[in-house]
Amino acid sequence: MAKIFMAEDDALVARMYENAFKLSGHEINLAVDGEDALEKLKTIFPRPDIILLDMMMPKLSGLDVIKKIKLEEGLKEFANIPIVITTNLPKLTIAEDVEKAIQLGAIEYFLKSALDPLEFVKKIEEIISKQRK
Amino acid sequence: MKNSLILKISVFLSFIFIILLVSLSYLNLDNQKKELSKSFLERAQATSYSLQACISGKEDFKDKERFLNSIYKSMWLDKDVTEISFSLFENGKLNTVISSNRERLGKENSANLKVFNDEKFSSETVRTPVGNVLVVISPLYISGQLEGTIEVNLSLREVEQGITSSAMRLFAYYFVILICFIVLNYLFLRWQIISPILNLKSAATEIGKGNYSFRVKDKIKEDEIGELATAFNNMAINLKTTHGELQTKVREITEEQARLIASINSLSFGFIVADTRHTVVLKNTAVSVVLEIPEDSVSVEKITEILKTRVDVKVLAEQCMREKKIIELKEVSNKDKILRVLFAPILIAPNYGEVIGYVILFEDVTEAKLLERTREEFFSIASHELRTPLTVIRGNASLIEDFYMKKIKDNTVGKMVSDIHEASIRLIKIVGDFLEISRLEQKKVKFEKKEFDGVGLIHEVIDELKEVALEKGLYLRFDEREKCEIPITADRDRVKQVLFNLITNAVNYTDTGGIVVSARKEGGFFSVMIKDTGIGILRENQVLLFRKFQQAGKELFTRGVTRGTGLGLYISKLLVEGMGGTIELVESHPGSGSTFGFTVPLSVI
Repeated sequence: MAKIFMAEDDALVARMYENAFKLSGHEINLAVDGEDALEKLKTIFPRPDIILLDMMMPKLSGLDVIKKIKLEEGLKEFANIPIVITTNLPKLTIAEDVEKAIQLGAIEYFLKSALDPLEFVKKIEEIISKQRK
Repeated sequence: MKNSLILKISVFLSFIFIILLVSLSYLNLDNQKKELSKSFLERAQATSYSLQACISGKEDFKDKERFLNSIYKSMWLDKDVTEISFSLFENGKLNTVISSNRERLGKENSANLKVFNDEKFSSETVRTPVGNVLVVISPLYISGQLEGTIEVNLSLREVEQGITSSAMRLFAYYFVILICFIVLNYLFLRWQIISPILNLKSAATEIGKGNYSFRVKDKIKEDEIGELATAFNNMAINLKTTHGELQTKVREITEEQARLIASINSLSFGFIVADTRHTVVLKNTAVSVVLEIPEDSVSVEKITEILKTRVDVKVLAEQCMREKKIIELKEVSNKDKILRVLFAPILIAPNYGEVIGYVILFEDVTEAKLLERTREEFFSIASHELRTPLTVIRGNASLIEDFYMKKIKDNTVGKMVSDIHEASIRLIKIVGDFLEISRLEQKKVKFEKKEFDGVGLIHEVIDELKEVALEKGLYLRFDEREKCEIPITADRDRVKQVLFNLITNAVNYTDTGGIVVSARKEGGFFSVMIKDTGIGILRENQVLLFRKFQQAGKELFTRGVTRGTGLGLYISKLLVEGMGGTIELVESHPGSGSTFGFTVPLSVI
């Protein structure tokens, strides 16, 4: 069992992933936008095993959240948690942002619509188990 | 006419003529003078001989008066004789004993001593106050004995007067001849040379005015000037022809230029033609509009100044002339506009090797760029907005299939859920395809360049699709004859996408038999063939194969197999062509299968 933290502004998508992870036996915490994500992260104990960030979100984008987590002093304790980007934007549109995110330390980028939820869960599990090793 | 030719020739000829006459008259007068001098000498000698003859004895001298008188009386004396003197040699001295000049009487006459001593006749002309006098001295013999000298002086005044008057006559005569010569000379020159030349001159003046039909019409003589006139007429004929051709050419050029100027002025983009020293030769009004500068300040310097923070116009112009290549700048921002700037060298015939300047085009692409960005944004947002609910449909359908299938008692409901799942996947794929086509059509896709093994890639795709083929009972294999690697430098993912697409199609449209993929190197290209034993494609459908939304089925609404989006081949075509390759249906026979082939350059540029 892993502890997942997911920031996703679309409620339907969020619920779908919530179900997928819960049905697969994982614990999941959700945030509705970038700011909410940063606030909620601080309240979660123990720390999540992975942070999933939607690229396009209100208030703070996924990239902004990564920047804050990786660069801000106060959020240093989250800097070692693996971060994965999720999006439904075309790859070319956000290619630059994805590149920046990877440079900042994001591990992977997933196009949500391209995967069935269980495939997605599987990939996340793989990342977590790799990270644990 | 100050420098009249006729005057010059006349003066020259007259001068020669005068020299001729003067030398002639000199010879003439000299001759005359010699003749006269000779006759005078003879006269003087005759006088002295007759005087000699008069003297019979020495005693005669005693009475000098009587002797002289007797001489004057006894002989006819020449009227020009001015003086006669007799001198006798006595006591070693020569004394004048008898003289018509009383001053000389009894005085020593040393002047005549030389004649006495030499016994030789002498004559000389002596200048005296009364004119030139011929002095003739001869030895005096009395009774056969040399006793003294006889001196006879003869006035030469008559001789000189005669010569002077004849010279005057001669000059008057020659003067008349000279005048006649000048007049005749003038008339001759005028008739033979000046008139024809003046005719030529007026003809030349006429032609100079543009009257190319004018000719020298007077009777043309067969001399040098005549030849000149003939040559002139021929020249005028040629000139008329040439001028006619020239006028046509000028007219053509003028029309061409007018068309050109009208064309460039009607252009919406700025157009500047400059020479090699960056001087603007031609420009249109759009330049000042596009660059937002006053029309009279358009110059290469000014434009360089305006754009200097973004591009160096002069340096680019020189580069374009040096490399003889077109230079294109797709986006140059100036104030609130986005410009497309193009530099093109002007090369002239025959070899297009000489650069005489360059053209700069300034196109305001602000609108187009904004539109492009909006379109780009629209596609991104649209695909995002479509994908988000589709993700939910796909995800939930998939979750139901994965976790709740056992709870669904009714098989039909289960089938419905899996249909929803499949349909949502297809829809998501269509959204992706649309986006990709839009990008490929706009040539927005950048192809990566990486070296990889083409054969290895085919094996990879075959491995991924083998299961699908096996499910349908089909074989899917690589042509074993080709075992070696084929290294190519291209976008691996895109080549894989094409391979995946073509092999998937082959599997989809084949029910029995299978698919064989082969690959080889062919003239710098990586050439791949996918041969299936499927349903084949009717000839009439073959041409539409690579168009949008086409499938190999018979008709639009009755497609035999309705899997895929119908965009696969179109995308494959765009991808392959984008990489510089080709794609085609090699052959197809309904009922027995199709062969698709595509090529990709071994090294994509």
